Amino acid sequence: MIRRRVATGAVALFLATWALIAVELITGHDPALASRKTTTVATSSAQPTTSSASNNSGGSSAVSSVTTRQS
Amino acid sequence: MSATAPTVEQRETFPCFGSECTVIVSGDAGAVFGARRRLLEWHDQFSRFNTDSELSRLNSDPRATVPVSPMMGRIVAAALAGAERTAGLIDPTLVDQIEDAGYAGHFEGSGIGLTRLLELAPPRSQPGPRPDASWRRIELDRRAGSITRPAGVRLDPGGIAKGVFADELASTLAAYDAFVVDCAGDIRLGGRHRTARAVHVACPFDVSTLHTFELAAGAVATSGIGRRSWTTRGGRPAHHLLDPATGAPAFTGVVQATALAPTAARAEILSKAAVLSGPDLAAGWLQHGGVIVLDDGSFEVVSAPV
Repeated sequence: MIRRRVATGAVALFLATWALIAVELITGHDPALASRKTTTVATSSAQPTTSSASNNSGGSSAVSSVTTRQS
Repeated sequence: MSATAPTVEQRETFPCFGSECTVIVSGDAGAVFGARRRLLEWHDQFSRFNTDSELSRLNSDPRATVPVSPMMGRIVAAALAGAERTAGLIDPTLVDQIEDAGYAGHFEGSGIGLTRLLELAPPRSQPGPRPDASWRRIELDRRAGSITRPAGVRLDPGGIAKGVFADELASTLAAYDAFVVDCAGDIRLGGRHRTARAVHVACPFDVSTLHTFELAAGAVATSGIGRRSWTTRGGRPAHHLLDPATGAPAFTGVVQATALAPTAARAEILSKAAVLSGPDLAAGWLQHGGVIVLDDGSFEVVSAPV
């Protein structure tokens, strides 16, 4: 009886833990992505590149971009 | 947790400083209009090509000491700081030289093109400071509101003035959720929400984008020889970035440099110094990050220290 309860509890705990992790990943709260720091790229290729110089932003797709060029 | 998305941005692009300026402010068209008006006023007040401008009157004033406006004081202070920081590599006193090179009036069009300019260019060389370093004898008294300079020394702060204007407007727009002031390539951005914004670095050879920075605050400036280029009457290639040592347009092997910095005036100084320093030393000026473009079209993205 006791052995069955322990086994059932262990399985339930295992399933609950993985369900929680799955929900976190599905909703986009991947901790590996959340801890991303400033990244920069050094290249001499002709391909456009992107780098971030600030990681404390509240980015929005509605925010318009600007271009710097020699005037 | 992300900050709340800003309200709708108000944006206006307009001709100014012989190029285009853009002002973006979240939620306040009046602030955009006010910034636009100030930029146009500053253009008239500080243009080298307007004989009635304060800069032209200063340069033609026979007195050794001349009263100046607070904004002129800030521009001259920034120009002298740039000369000091670069040991004269950026020299704000090369008015005779730039006029001799053929740049004595408003520049119309985009020039002869970078590819043609480089085909005609002399062998690459390393610029240096002007031997007499007359900029060291310019004295700015901000308390008295005056400038004292040797007879015959004329001032051309060039692009540094644009950086000062962007910084000045940034201080008045800081309370908005988000703002951008783009003074003909010298960009200052920020705001309370610290909203990340894509800042594209344009390729000097075509219309493509070389690199994109994601910035929430600070400044970006780009200097180069691609635009405002021409051939002299003798057929020599020319542009507006001069080697102070020779007074001739500088061909260093770097055709464009973009610098990140806390302020636009400093970004302007760093980008210009990077172009004038040549390929081996350019990256040393980009301590906050940036992009260097060489003669052959290759480019390097310089990382800012983490």
